[in-house]
Amino acid sequence: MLRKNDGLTTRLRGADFSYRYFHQCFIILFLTLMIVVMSLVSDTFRTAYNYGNVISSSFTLIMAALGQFLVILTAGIDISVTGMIALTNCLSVYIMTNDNTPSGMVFSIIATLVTGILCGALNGFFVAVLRLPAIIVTIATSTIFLGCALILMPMPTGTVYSAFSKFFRWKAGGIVPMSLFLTVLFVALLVILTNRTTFGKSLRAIGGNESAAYGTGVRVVRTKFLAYLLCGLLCSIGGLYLSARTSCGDPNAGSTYSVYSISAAVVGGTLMSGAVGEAYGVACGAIIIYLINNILNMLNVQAFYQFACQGAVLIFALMIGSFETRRRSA
Amino acid sequence: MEAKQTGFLKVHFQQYIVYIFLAVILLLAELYSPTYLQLTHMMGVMRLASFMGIAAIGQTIAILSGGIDLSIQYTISFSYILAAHYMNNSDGNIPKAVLACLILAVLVGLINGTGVCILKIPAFIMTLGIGTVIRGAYMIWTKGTPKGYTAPLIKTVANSSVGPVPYIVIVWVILAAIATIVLRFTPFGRKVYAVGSGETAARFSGINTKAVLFSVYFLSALFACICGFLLIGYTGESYLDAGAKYDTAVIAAVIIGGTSISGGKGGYLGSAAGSLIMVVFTDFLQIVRMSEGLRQVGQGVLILLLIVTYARERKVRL
Repeated sequence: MLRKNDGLTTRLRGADFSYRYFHQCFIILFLTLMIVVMSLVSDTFRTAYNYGNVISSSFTLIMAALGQFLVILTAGIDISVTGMIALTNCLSVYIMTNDNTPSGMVFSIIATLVTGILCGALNGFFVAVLRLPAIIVTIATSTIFLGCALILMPMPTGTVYSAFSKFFRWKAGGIVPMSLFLTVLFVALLVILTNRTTFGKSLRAIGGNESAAYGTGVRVVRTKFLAYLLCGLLCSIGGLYLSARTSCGDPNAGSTYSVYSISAAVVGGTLMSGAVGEAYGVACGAIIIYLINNILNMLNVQAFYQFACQGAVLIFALMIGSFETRRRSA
Repeated sequence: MEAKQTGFLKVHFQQYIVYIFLAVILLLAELYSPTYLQLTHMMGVMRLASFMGIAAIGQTIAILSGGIDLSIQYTISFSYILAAHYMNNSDGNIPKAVLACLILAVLVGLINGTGVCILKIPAFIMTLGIGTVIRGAYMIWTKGTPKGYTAPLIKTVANSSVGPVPYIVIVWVILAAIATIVLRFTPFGRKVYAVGSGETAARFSGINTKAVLFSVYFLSALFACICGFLLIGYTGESYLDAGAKYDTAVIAAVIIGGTSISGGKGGYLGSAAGSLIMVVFTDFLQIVRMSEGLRQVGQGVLILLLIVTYARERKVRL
């Protein structure tokens, strides 16, 4: 089922419209409400520094969630996000620690992006070409990537080239952070990619019904492979950003990203059964997930309550999604 | 290597090929360090594998029914903390601890079951969310510092042996036998397979799929609780996140064991061998003094190699 401008009946489009825009509007409203409430309640949150900080702190999660989103559109899943972020983070810092020069920085960036692509391609090869179940493949590759990160850096350490860090931490006018521009850029790219291109429509078609997509001439193997590859690339960008922000390579840095990225995608209105979801919703979902932690920190709630809250929000978002799935299948 | 699901031999070969792998790994280990297959060492390995094996029973049932249970590791941690809290170093308190763990299993099973079959939330994400909530619950309850100590009896069960065979291995064998018999030879077992192969078809052939799914998630929580309950005997003192080791490793053990992730195919005997492979391989890599990083790489490569040989799905067709 292609989702847009593909000559489906008006009735089907109507049903589609209601979910797409209802859920997306709901997510954006929810995020706005959260920010307004937090600004009213907390003095520290109201500062411009913290608004910038929210987007900077959640940038890596946004990248991971966008990658995860592409994979979930094909009705797959990528649990190796954790491993890919840890590996790219460690690799970029490792190279820059050993060669703290401009050329070292360039080499590090290129090597990190290539590594991300290779990691994604490895997942894609096993899932798309060899037709293995995504969940177990990515569990295995995640172990491999984490192992590689540990070999590179047995413990958190290192340093980055100063210009590298400065570039990513640059703020326009001292207020608007680089990460905001990057977020807008990547979200816009993915909105276009998933809605306006053949590749995007193929992604959604595969998520809707794989054999029907195959029957209508969608190149299933290639599209799935590319989805995993792009997920790896986005994670490596997230990993690079993490290096710039923390100036440190940490093999455990990624540990929460798999779960959070899945949560972010789901909260952002992506259906786990594939095909449905929007990149901007996912970015909002990622910020919401980050904010839930931030709110609780600011209200001086103990860390113990944060897990319970995150689980509760995830399940709440799921219930909205599940009503939609049920209506569709009914 | 695509095995078609026809013929007795092929179906069973696919499930038990994992035993051949297990034998090969054991032989390689023996070749490298000649005392590897000694009885005492093997029993030590079995003791470790039995905890994973017990947790894998619940996961096998969940995966066979077409779902998955990612809350297992958190249920293990919670029951572990509960058990330590109520036992408090006295055998007389064991019934209280058992009751607490049972209540936990019923609650977790009920919530997961409700999400999966009433609200129709995908099992993967429902159990993931509930897992986070369970983690939050025990964090709040313990305030980050769990207290308590194992009862001597449970300590004996987890640490001592009768002759060369540790008690815990006997417990595992008994539970494994029950699980295998229930899955193979009882109506409930057949219903689990039926629901796993196709829920709609199962419903139309008169199976109460909701009841089956509720029992499935109750059972997976129950075996997680048993695992946590015994684990406290092994470690003695209580600490947070004791179940963290049993997150993806248990799923890997089940899949390596030949159970299909899409449900309806496989069985517990494979998962038992899968648990053994996971433990033996880690143990072996430790013996050859590999670093933590290399060990993880090795484990990932092993899982990939194993699943490439027999977990491939059919080609997409119209």
